[in-house]
Amino acid sequence: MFASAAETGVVDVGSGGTSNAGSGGSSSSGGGNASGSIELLCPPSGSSSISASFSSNSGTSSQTHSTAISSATDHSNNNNNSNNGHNNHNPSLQLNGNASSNTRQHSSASSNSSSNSSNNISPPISNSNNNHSSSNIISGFCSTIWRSATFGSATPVINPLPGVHINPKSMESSSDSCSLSSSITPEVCLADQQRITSTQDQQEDQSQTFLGATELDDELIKQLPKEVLLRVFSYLDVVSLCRCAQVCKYWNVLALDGSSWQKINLFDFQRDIEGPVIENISQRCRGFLKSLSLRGCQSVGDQSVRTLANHCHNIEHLDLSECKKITDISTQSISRYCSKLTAINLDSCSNITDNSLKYLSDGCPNLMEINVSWCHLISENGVEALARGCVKLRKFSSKGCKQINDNAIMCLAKYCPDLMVLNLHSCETISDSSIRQLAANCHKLQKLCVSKCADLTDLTLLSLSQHNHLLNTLEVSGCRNFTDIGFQALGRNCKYLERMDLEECSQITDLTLAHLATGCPSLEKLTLSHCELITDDGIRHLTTGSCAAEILSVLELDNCPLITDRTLEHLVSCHNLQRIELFDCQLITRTAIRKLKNHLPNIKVHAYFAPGTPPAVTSGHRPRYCRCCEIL
Amino acid sequence: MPSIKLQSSDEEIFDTDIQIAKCSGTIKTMLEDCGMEDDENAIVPLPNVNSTILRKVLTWAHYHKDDPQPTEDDESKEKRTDDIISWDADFLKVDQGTLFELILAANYLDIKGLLELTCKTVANMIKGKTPEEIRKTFNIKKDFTPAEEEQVRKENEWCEEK
Repeated sequence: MFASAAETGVVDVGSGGTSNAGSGGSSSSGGGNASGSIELLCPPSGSSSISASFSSNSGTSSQTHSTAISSATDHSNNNNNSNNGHNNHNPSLQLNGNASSNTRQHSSASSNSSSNSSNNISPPISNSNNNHSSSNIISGFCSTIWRSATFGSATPVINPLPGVHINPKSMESSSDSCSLSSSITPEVCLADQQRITSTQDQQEDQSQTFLGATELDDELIKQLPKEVLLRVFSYLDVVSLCRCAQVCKYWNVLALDGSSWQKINLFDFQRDIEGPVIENISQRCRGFLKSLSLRGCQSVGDQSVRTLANHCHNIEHLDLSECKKITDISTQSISRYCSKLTAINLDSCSNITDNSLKYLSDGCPNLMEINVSWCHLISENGVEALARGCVKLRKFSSKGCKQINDNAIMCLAKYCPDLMVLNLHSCETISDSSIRQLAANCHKLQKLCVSKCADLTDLTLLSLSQHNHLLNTLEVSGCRNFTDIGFQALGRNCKYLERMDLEECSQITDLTLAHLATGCPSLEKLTLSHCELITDDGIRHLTTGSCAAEILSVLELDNCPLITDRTLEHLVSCHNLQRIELFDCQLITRTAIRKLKNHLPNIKVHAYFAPGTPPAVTSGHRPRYCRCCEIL
Repeated sequence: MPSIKLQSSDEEIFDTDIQIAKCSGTIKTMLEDCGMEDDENAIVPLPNVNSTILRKVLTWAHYHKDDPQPTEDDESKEKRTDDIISWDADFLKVDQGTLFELILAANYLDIKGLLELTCKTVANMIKGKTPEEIRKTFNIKKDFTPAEEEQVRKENEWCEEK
């Protein structure tokens, strides 16, 4: 009774590098298909909701866009030039100088962050920004001096030139060497000028009122050096940044500094994003921009993307999903300018054709992740070109691309040995032969979704179990040919399996559960909806397995007509169970659910008991969360 | 427990547990590079931190001495500002001047946790405010001409609710 294909299909959109699990979740309801969903919760406590807890296991994705300011330790930047000039003779103080005193270095440092070592470009505009702002800093500095002169007695020794002592690098890098060398006691401890002693400081009790709030010295915040203020800004969302930009000229420069805008997610503003905004952002971010999500920004067209690509050559993650206006022209300009691109999401950009994949193949050899789901014009020709050019590909998603066939998959298998995540939901024509080749060539495969690929048989499962021992997510909803034999093999060899969607694998029996229970100690989420042969006995197997007590957290059993209250009794031992779906399990009673809740007070039980008169909304639809979809 | 002496800019000496002192990257490097760790009498000069602030910094460091070292990965995580523990929140109930000095000290001493905390606190002071409210909060002068202000407002209006 579930239109599960469509549902699972839509739920994913989240995807792109920056979007967090939360927004992924909200997208599912926004996606429309879940609209009719009703989640009547089992008995009296109506408190819980259907909010499936997305564990945002960032896993692989986190590597790809780590923008740690760290790495590149350039301790060589010993710039003692400024206030510490007179300290140079002092060995113990040279550390002060470690600071990259030059503010500009900081911003470029933060731009260098990516793992991509060839990134040492500090974009021209930022230079001008920085020049501007450093003059501001100087004025801030002057006022600081003035203040310390005037309020000398009450003012602590302020680092005379803000920005001097900052070392963004060393800040990040916890120094690892613990070599204890021996004894140089610095005799010269302090530079004279810095021995501004203020007797008031002795009265430590006053610390709370020190520099009391009553002091009407304006713009105290100006004593913060640029990089510190940038750090503050780094905690701000785009709305706050845009408001900071309106505070004063100095803040305008800093808030709009590209370094504050390395990762932008404009999903929340999708309705308001028009071409000029993109163009404005492009021009301000320039080479700083690493990650941009325009998901759902439907007014974005080729012209905007072209401007973006033209200005932001260093972009690595680009999410254009649901930018339905864009065409191959967009990908052409991306291909021309953005050779560092590692991830692109074109989900539901239905104008995209094979040409786009050819462009990307030509211009973006570093591409590791691509999502062309629901781009129904994509065919084997495009995929072949992509696979040939982008051999580093790790994630490929083409949900609902009905033209993707065995040849396309074989090209991926042939040219992209690093493939880790593959989503072929509803690519209905693919058969065992291509999946077997994929399994044999792509040993790193971790997540595979072949739901609704109904032609697949146990041969697929056998070859996966033979070659892909790292598999942790397998979604095979609607693969009706799979039997216990296939899952027995999987259970034997794929011990890292964490998530499995076996919905409508209608031939499987309790034996499959027995195999999974013994072979998959990490199993965390299991969907058995519409597996109509499953009985209490199968669940008992599951609950005695190694994953049961501590790991298993989600179990979906909708429309398993044979399971009874005994299933719930077995599940009492699954202490980690967070959610269980029991829609249309006719033999389950409210009493049993209440009992289960007594044992597992935090569990969310989703069931539905028909009331006396039919409700206005039909029951049964509920958002389904597909692990693969979340990730891709 | 071995200790070392830290000297503030106003020449107050703080006898400090060495482990606590080493939460400062600057002091840690200084000790290690200069081989001062074994020398009980070594004095580490901190010419950019006065005693009031240093005392507060050390109080913070003492409370957080068992915190796990922040990992590199933290940079890539979503930046949150709503995760300040109550002790820290109380600790930072200070006037702006002190707050900024703590930031400067944390920055200079390279104490990542404290710098993060203080910057988050300032970020929280900014969040949810209009430009005018922000100016008021920090006593910042608006130096835009009316025309400039209008232009800046226009450029940034896309993120405002209509």
